[in-house]
Amino acid sequence: MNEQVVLDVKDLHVSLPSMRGVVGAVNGISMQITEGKVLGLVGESGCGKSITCLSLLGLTKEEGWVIAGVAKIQGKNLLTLGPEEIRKIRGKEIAIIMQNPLTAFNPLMTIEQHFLETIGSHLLLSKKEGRNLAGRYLEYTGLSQPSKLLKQYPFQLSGGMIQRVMIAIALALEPKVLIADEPTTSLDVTVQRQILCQLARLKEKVRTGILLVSHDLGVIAQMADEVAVMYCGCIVERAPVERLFNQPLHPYTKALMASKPKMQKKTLQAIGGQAPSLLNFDGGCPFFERCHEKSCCCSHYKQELVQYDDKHWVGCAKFAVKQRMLYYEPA
Amino acid sequence: MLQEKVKGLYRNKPGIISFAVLAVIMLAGILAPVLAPNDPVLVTLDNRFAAPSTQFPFGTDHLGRCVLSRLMYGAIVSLGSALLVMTITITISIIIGTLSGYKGGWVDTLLMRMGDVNLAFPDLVLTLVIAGMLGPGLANIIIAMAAVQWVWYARIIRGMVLSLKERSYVLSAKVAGTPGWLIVVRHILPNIIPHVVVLVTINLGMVVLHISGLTFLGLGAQPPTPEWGAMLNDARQYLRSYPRLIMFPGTMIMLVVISFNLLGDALRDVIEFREG
Amino acid sequence: MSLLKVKQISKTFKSKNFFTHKGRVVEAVKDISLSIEEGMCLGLVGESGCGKSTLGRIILGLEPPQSGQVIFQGKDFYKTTRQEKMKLRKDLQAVFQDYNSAINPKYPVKMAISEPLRNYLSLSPSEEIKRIGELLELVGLNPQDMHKYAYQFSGGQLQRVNIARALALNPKLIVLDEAVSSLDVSVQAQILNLLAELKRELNLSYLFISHDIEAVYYLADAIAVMYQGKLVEIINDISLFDQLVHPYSNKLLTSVLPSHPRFRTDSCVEFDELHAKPGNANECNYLDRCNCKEQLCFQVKPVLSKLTEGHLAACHKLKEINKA
Repeated sequence: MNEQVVLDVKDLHVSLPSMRGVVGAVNGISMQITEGKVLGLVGESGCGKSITCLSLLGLTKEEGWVIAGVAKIQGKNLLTLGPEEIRKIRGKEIAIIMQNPLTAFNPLMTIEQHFLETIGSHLLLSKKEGRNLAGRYLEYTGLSQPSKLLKQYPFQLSGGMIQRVMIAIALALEPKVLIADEPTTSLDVTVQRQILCQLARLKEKVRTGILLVSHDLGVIAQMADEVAVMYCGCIVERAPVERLFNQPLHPYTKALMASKPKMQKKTLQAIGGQAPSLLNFDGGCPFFERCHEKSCCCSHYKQELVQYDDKHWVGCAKFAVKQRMLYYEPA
Repeated sequence: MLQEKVKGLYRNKPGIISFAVLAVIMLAGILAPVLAPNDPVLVTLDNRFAAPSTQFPFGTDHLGRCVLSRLMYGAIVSLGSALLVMTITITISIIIGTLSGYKGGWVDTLLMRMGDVNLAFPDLVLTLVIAGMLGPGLANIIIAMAAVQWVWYARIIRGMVLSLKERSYVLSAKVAGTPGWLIVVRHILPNIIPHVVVLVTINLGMVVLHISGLTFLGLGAQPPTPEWGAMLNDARQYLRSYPRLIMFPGTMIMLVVISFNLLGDALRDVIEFREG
Repeated sequence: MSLLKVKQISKTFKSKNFFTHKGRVVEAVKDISLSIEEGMCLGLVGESGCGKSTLGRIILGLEPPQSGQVIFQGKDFYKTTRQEKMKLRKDLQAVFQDYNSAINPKYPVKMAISEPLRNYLSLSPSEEIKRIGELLELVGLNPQDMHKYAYQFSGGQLQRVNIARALALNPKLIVLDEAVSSLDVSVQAQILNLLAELKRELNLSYLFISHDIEAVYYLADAIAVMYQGKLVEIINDISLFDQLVHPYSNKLLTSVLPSHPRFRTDSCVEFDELHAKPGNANECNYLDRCNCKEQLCFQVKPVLSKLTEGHLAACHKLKEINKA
């Protein structure tokens, strides 16, 4: 394989203690992010996307969350590092772009100060060098007059501009992995696509692997190289993007695609019901209740991903059974 | 939902304990005519500064009056007047605060500028001035305190109303054709009152302290009315020779203030837990 | 006769600077006229801050406009008597984006639905319960749910309750102010289907305000595009949707993200975003972002004018095309 895996997550579990029991927010997900590629993580609210991001950055330790699994970045396991070690990695090896750019900036600091803070804590640069670096990256994101921009405060910029600045800061240290948590959700429709394009361009320059988290299949279709569909803290399907859109296998993926209005007047195929509570998750198929294609073997199926073919994995009892029959080899 | 909250309060230990303490003090005050061992105002000069005994469990003061009885009768005066101050204050400030917040416009400007004038002076000074003008007496300091304190609460309530006014359910009620006063009664007040209760509970301790303080200065309850602040004042002169005289009312005031604070915190945890 | 006619409505907000006392005037809605026929859904699209929600509130009677008229069922809403207003309001309901705070958390949801019922009809308690049950069933909920509180519902269910409340008085027009925007995709589809179904069954009219042009296309029969407080294009027939021609409408359409990776476009759209700045009173307010501007656009503000039957747009360029 010539593709270099930059972040390798194996069997990540996150559970949050609550007043009524343990909530299994993330239930054993595995994914690989390769250099210069975009892994799209798509799912509805409450499926554990954001918690996955936070735990990868080590931002959840104080909350009393229980995290298990392995997340390897350059041979180091992110989930077991101490606070000082993870600080060194954050920003340099793994960076994040958040959903709401305005709240991610300190209103009392100029853009330049934000840049220097991030760069300065990892690289030994003079102020001038830092400024040059900042200016260069701002230019990459399509912002004109970077020197003027650096002197401005976050609230003087529009939502799209501030998101560009955020991307510039995140990529200025050329991290191996960039986590983009709903990067365009809070922006105006006309700006979304511009931001995604910029992100794609910069990715080519820096060769970062991106974990793109979104609830919007459109964002995924535009950006991702590979897609993981998440539901109730589990990845239910994983495939290259073309493949997934051409031939979705998991009933949830199919339903999700059918429920998006696509400039048609046809009745939308909505998914009935609601996602189940993740309280005391038992490992069974989480989509069972809402599934149209369920059969007798579903009720005692344990959620796991099985390989459908070369690059297509799916977590559904239908395929699990088929797999076992196909690959059954007597020992 | 209410049951859940009551349960929540039940689990909160400091809350329960402080509630019990306040209930005991209140009960002792209410039942003082039955329970008190002696007449609180009966002067027996032969028994001055008597040490605690079976007849006078906490001893007697400089006029030979039973300290325990005075404390018990004083509980109803101190706590009762504090409650009265709060009731008056809150009634005024809820009316003015909601009116000002909901109506807005010139009503708001007028009421809030009136309040600003009030806030420009330190609380205690203003209370002293008004109480001084009205003359000594328990009723007068109650009026003076309410007249000063409503501004503060009215402002907080106005702020809450302003934020609630923009909630979608208020808009929906308007769209549904609900008249303004009914929106206030049905949608705004029920959402404010729990928060006000918390605020009031925490501040009741302060009010008790204030009343005792004003009485200590000679403005509140007049002798021989048993009141904790007045007792402190009386005992002051004998601080060196008979320190227990100042300790008893002092401890009671402290106990009440701490209990109100703890109870207020507990209520806040329970009431505001889900609302965030 | 149209059910709702909005005539030349304008609304400005003033914010005063405390120190300089210089007022900053924001023109939220400028000179807007539109109409909604019975049984029709008008979709109103535009970016956030373009004044579409303000227009919705004006139509709902929540915010009096500075000038212009809202004529609902032949009567000017802001000029009639109190009683008349009450009567009109009965036929004019709303569903808001913020499903969470649209129901008072203090009461079970039956209180929310009974509120309009009690304001207008004097039903006996048993009739009221029956009606609430019917309404909940109509929106696909269990009538038993009426005793639950808001926090016991999921987002989609709460939005259904809100719809039930809006339907309680058999209104003629419902203003849907971003009613599906904060819902999940799969739930959004449920609600859109429900709205379409209710519209057919009850002959409702909607004003569907949204930034999501795909959702609008799904539900609407006519479409109006709004930019910086002004209507820039109206099409009275959704089947002519692909004839939207105003540069801004085009921008909105090209901003729609692909539904399949094979429709992916890698061509980077140039940096271009709404800047609220005090523009020259005489120039087109889409000038900054327009890529086909000409001399005339700097001098004369284009007005909404007819291109073909049932298709209006405000752009100089388009008028010429039409003439030719």
